Amino acid sequence: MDNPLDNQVKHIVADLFGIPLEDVTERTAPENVSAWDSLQHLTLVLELERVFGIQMQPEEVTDLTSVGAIVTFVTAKAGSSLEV
Amino acid sequence: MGQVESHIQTEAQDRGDPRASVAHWKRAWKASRSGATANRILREIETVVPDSPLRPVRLKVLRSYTVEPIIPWLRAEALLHDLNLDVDVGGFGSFAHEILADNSELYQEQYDVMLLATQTRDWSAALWSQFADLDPEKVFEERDRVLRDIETLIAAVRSRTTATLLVTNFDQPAVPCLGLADRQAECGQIEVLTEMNRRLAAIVRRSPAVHLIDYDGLTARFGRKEWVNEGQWQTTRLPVASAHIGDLASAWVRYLRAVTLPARKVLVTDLDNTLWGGILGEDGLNGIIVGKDHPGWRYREVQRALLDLHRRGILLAIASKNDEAEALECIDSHPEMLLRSKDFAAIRINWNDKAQSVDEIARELSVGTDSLVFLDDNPVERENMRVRRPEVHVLDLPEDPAAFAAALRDDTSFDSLVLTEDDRDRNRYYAEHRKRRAAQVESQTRDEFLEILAQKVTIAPADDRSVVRIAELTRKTNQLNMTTRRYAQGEIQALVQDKGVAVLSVRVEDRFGDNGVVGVLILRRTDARVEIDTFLLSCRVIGRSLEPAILSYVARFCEEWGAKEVVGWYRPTTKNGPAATVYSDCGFRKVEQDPEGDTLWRLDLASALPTTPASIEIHGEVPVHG
Repeated sequence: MDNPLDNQVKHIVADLFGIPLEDVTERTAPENVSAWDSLQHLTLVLELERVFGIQMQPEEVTDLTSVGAIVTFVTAKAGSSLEV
Repeated sequence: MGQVESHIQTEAQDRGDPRASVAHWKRAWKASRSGATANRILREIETVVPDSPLRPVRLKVLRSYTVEPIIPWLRAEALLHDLNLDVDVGGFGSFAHEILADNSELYQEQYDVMLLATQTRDWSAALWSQFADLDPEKVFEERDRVLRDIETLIAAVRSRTTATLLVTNFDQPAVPCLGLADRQAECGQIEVLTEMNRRLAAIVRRSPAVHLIDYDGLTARFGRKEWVNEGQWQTTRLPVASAHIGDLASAWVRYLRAVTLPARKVLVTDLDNTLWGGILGEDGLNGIIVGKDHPGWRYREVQRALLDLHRRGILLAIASKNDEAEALECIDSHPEMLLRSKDFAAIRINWNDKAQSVDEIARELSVGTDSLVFLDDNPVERENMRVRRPEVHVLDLPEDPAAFAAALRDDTSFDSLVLTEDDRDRNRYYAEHRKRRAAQVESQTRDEFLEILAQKVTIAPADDRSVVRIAELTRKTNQLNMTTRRYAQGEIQALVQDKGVAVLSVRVEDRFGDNGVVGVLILRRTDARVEIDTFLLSCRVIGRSLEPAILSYVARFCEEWGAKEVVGWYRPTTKNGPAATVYSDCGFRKVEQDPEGDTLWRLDLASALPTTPASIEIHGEVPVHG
């Protein structure tokens, strides 16, 4: 919860899909957000890449199945590049 | 992150002012360009649509690849130019069918612009990734097939809609299939694609209201290797890496701006620390910095960029706080200056507020202040201009003067996709114009001035050469314009084909030179009545008694065309005051006034017709009766 990336990811999800920030939780996922279809998932991936300065492999993209999974993934990926 | 922007909506709503909302969105977008910002802004736009000060533009994207994530960026970027883009996206990869099908829904809608967005690899896998398999004969066959196909599509769009069509050209791969040998091979991949782009440009040149988007140049500018994320392309068919989505969107918007909005006309520049380094009043003529070598090249580059604008027909003007005599002497005698005082159409060197100087410059050049671009190194002057004259476009300049020239060249205000002969000649017109002014000052009376001018007016049906200029005039002319109807080139082209419509260009020559095409008439006939849909004259020739001469020609023209009466609306705007009395001065009678204040004027061709002043010669064919 103290993870600063957590808040950033939730902001992005809220803005992209047009849902109130307070409704975004770790369990927020494509199956419970109507706007989160495959094209919007691509938009989300592009946004994560830009904001966190990372590049994702196609295999990784399909693993981003919820906000919680995204935070874990971005933390690992961006965290490692930040240490360089 | 997002603290400022998340309050946009409430703040703007509190003010209840759509203009304030638009200003907020622009600031939010410039501060943080992202998909999230774009989506947030676009949701808010829906709430102010009815009173939006934005100009609506309907765009159809016909595409061979995924564009959906790009669209919000495109719409947000367009806001910076006060455009509200309404975007429809065609089916994935079905653009050819949509364009060619007999009952295609594409043509049921009224789009302002269609964008055909494709890449080389979508037209031909052979020319993209299998090039090494092909012998030259097959390569040429494939090249010709692709060009034939795209030409067919362009022709179909052109014949079935008046929308302006933008077509992306063929991009090159980062590394050609033949490797190092490619550029010197007899039939190399890069050479073939370059040739295809040359031929595509030729197709576009001969198709009215069709323009090229230099997609290849765009990928080159940002690096072909980095432009696409191949993994993403293979899985999602997105042609652009996340880092370049904004670059693609702003490039497209630059073209959309150029086809929907008129280019600005005048660049007003400062002198000290802008055209040269240092302060003339303190450093003196020998102390200021400008020249071919370091460090003066920075300022010489700015002058070179201004000179290029000048060659394209942009007028240059000076607004500087300096001693006038000293500054003019410097401009004309400093050996390293590229620009001289003759290159400037208007000069204000004094100690006044620059807002006042730009007002005077606009008046002297007969343009609105919304046609001006302001170049000044001083952030305080820039902010003053932004606040006092928000309609003037103020260039955002970087700190480093070495980057001034690039910022100037990259600005979109002067963008136009076609350079007409009139653009190239514009500065000559204004030089002649100064001589005319001098003659006017010397003349005792107006009639005497008209005698000296000895104007010759030639009125001719629109042809392929003049349609570009005619459309441009309908979009740019604000003052002597009876109805201020704006037409795209494609729409003018369609009117030319219409038997019930006459589209005429008005060219004016005088003793001091050829003014070029400076007027437009669009006449619509219904039985024995002709309506003047459009009558406009460029500000270049205002106040020269041309109106009665042209309307007397119109009367004769309409009589021969089989009409008994001519009618025309005057639709007042904030700028066309000079047009208010044209019809009454020429013997038309007011017959109608609608609630908006528009008035309809009528001339009975059986009654006294307007007469051509004796000093004006008028030439023009009249139609064969029928």
